[in-house]
Amino acid sequence: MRRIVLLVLALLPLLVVTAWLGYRAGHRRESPAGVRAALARRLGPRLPTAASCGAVQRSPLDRYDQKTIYAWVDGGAEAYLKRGFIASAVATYELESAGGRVEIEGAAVRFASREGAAEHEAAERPQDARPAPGVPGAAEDGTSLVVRRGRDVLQLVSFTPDVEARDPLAQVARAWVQEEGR
Amino acid sequence: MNDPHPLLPTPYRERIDRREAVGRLSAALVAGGAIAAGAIFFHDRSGTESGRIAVPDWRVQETGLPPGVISHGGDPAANVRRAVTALGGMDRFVKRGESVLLKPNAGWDRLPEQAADTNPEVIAELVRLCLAAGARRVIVADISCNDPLRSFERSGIGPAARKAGAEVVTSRRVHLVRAAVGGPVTGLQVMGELLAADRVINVPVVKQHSLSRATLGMKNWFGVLGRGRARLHQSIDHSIAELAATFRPTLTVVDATRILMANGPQGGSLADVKRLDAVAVGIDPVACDAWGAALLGLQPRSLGFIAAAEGRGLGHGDPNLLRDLGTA
Amino acid sequence: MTWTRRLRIFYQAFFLLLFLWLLDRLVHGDLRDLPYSAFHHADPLSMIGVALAAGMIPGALIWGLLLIVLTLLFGRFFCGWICPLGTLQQLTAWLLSPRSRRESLTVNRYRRWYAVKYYLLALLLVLAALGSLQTGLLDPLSLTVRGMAAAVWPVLPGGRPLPGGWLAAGLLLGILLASRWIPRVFCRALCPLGALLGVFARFSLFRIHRSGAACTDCRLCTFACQGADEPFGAHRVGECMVCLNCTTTCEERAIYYGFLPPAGPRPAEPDLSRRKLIGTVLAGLVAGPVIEATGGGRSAARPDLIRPPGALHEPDFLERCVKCSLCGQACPTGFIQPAVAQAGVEGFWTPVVAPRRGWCEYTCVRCGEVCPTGAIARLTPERKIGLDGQPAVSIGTAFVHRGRCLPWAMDTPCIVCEEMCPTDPKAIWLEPITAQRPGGRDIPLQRPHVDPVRCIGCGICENRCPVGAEAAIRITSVGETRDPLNRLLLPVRSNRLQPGDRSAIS
Repeated sequence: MRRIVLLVLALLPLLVVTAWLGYRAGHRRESPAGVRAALARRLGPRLPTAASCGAVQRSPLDRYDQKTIYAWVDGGAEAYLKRGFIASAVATYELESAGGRVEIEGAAVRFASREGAAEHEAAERPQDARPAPGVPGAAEDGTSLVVRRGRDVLQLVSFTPDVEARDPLAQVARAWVQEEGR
Repeated sequence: MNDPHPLLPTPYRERIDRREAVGRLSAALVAGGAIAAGAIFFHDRSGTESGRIAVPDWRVQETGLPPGVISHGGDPAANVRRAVTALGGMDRFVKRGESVLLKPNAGWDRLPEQAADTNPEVIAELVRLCLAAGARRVIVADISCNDPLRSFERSGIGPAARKAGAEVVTSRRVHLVRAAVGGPVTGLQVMGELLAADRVINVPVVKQHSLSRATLGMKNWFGVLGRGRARLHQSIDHSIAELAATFRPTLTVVDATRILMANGPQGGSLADVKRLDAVAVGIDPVACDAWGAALLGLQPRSLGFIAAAEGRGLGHGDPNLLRDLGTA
Repeated sequence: MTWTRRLRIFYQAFFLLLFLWLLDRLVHGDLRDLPYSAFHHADPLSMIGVALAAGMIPGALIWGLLLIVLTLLFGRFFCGWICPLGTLQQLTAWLLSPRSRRESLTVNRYRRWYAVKYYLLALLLVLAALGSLQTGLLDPLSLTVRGMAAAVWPVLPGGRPLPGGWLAAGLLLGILLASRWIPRVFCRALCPLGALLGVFARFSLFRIHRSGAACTDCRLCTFACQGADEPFGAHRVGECMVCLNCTTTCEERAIYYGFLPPAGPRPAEPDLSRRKLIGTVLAGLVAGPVIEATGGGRSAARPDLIRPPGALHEPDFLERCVKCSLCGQACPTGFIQPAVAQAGVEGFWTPVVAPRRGWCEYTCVRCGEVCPTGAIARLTPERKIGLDGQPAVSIGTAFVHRGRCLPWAMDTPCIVCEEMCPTDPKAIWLEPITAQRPGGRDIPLQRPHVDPVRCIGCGICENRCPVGAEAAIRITSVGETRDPLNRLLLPVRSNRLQPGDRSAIS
């Protein structure tokens, strides 16, 4: 009897090693997920699809880079470039809200550094800003919303001022924040 | 008979007994038989000059088939199915019991969204269609430029092909042989599995290329060649046309689910990729390549290898010959 | 054979097969996240060596402490139950050596020169303390991996030849062959890991004990003794490999392996002469700086000393590399090879790259993943190719040799290097020109130029260049990320990649 106990104890390390091997064998190395995510990020700033933010529809993306920025914000281009503007993606969303149909223009703007992006966020922040529901770090005033994640700044403006846009703005902002994975 | 010959050394046995005689005869027969068998086995009947294996012509002898069809739609597998059905179904090309080799572009260690390799769903669907048509064996093979295991794995072609029931042969397992190839391809070894297959389907992806300006189906044959194929770049258009004349596949399936517009043939950045969601299947390899070239924004007949191939009667460099089935 | 001896044999078989299986899986690029460097992580010789040389213990090596603790408990059981080289030597001894020789009193007697391993250990530790890590030359795990890489894998189907590996192969095969005459002579006389474990084994709680009353001095216990530790006399605990053969061969049942046996004759100390030990230490103190200064390894950057991506700055690298050759086994293309002269005397058998044998796959990070000591840092693929916004890791720069390049010197089209270049945008750009040949035949050519800002030195261009003998495009180490002084370009803005100034937004 004592011998059997000793034998089991003596074989225990081997069992532990085998179990650990089995556990490790269940995992795969070199998951391409990191590269995938990095490639997608490098494509430029992104805007959520209509489906992901509950919008009725969304226009195709317009992309602007350092050369074509003048076509987008002609007068303010210099300020953007000084802050380290790299690229932006712009689209228009249509959402249904309690008050009716809301049209929101969204622009995701990427800068070369967090400081530049933070500077831009401060400049674009609306007067009388208050936090937006469910979107940490966002500032909105009922018709526009600004939020930053890393080097990317999201600017939302409602083009239907007579409709209450607080919730739709927050909806789009939430979807953007979630998709960026941060 | 019993007196030993005076010149023979003593002791000398005048008779050997029967058992020993039988034993010696059997040994002689076995030895002789083994030598004869070995001689027959190793005998190279073909001689040194023609010790090279001929390249079969894999085309089907069918008339009335259009040069090719194009299908558009968000599901690559559905596109393949639709196009093959429009050509008469896979059993028109693959007969029951035949072995099929699919030649994808699995040359690069890239993800499917980088459009450097053939879309794995296209390969998987082709494997399924071949097996459904009664093929006894489907091999998916390519001699990759990057590490073969990584290329097949990362492109998704390896797992997708295996899951669909095909055998995957990478350059680590491939068996290269001397083939009867000529022109600039003389002396290069060719994938033995290719030459042994009954039917061959060429499945390229549409990409830009700095030398030939586009790499499509005819250039995809680079992947069946062994060492030394880099020298073909010295006369690229002529070489591609020679390859097209040497390897006549059963079908050409051009994958344009995603195409690589710049920095080919490997790409890397997603900005170089354009999603077109289209697949063309055809029996005219030159027309299929012409269609791919047009997708890249090029004039097909302005490409040297298309003009050369057309000049050699291998097909027609006109993309409009392909029938567009529209969007599913 | 009693059950303890069978158990030991079972353990040996288990760990040898495990070792070989892991190595086989590593070489074949298995995608499962197996613990390929597990054996090396538990190696206390590497742990102490790196600790002395680099002043820190890389995370995974902390398992060496576990082995030391277990040795303090059970003695040199690693040598007898786990070490794959030990098992291989025993197999060779069993296969090649006649039983009468293997199991005899004379061959298993302790010899004075078995103490050499302690002097070797002292020398290696002194060198390590001076910053030169050479334990890997004789560490049994490194030796086995290297020897197998040189002697076994190349001859198996699908194997890659390892030129220059004959020395490593010869060493392994020599060690195995030597067991034919004296079983496990390497373990007894040369192994620095055995010596290190022997130092701790002297204090082990479980050890062999001989009952003086039952013993009849027949000496049968040494017949199959692996460690030559003389259980019949003053037992040399530091040599005992816990093979437990003596417990079974003793016919009087006078020998057993137990916990804190009753006090008996004091176990014999290893036969070390204090003078010789001091002499060895002094020799090390002299040899170390001399080798570092004149061995040619760590001084000015050498063009042919190109290390794998993720390798540390050269002095730090030499303080950590235990020459285990796992990186060479992990590399899918055969790019990483053991150095002979490229890295100087100190860098003998450390990993360097060989562009004509292989190249660095763009998104592959396997070498850093398996390095047990962190001499090659772990990289993520995104970090390695610079997708995270920081510059990509570079191991060198490619140079076009215009006198050999086909479009430059021979008026013949070729763009294989540009085709193979994996960066996006490519680090090789093509200049279109028209060469005018005599006879009025104009040839449109594209001439390759290397962009040194974008080039990462992966070597696929040199590997695929169709010009034989010496390639027309070759990589040298200049521009490698790990050495801020080994630079080609002035560090000004125009020589740096800016986010957003490439065709891909960043």
